[in-house]
Amino acid sequence: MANIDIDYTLSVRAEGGPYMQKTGTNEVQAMTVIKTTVPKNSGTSSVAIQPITINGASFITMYSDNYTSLTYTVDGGASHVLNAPMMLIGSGAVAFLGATQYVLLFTNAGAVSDANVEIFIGRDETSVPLG
Amino acid sequence: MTNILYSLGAEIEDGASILKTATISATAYDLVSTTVAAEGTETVDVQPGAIGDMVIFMMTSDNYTSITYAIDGGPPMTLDGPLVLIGTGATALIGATCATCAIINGGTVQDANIQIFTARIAEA
Repeated sequence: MANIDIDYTLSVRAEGGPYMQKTGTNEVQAMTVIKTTVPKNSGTSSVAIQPITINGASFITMYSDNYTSLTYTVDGGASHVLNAPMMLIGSGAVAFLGATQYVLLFTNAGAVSDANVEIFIGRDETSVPLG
Repeated sequence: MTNILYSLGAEIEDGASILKTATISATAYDLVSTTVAAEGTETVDVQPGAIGDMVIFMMTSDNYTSITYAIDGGPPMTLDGPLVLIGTGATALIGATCATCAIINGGTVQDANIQIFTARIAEA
């Protein structure tokens, strides 16, 4: 089974202070790229991010052109705020989004502009069933 | 205020690439470095602020084999890659508080050198 390499670079630099940078490669078997628009005035957008029979995501990135009043839920769970770009690397980090990650429901409570959201998911092509 | 420049980039083999760079403001930051011996555990004080004031949480290691951690006695999480959470929305995924982090190195071969960087709004 061929793998797809995702080369990542993360860094933070505090003004006049420490600098941390990490680069690496995350191997996945399948990639999904999703672009969606979440309308203003409490508009919503629901997107299926991986097949329902698979739960092997090890890379999720979400970002938007509008972080004002943008929230999301994962598989009907608690509401989370998306107020900056998010990149979760490794299944350990992805687990912050819950036991499964099938459907993201975005809500844009802002009244001024729509939110264009892009999502990248790297995952296994096949996975063991949930126990 | 201290400006903290962050960058998140990814390049997908034969596919798209993304790069998000921006500045976030904080009034305090904390940097913790610790070594967790093979088959060992270390507990570190991360930061004293409320979770809602923490705008960056970044935890990295030179060894991602069998590393788990628990924040403030919460459930164990796996550290199998660098973890960076930007913005109060993302840091809230950690839980209600982020004062201490217990790190367990379940590997038998190699120590793990861990760094944790947090930035926050310190004013009450």
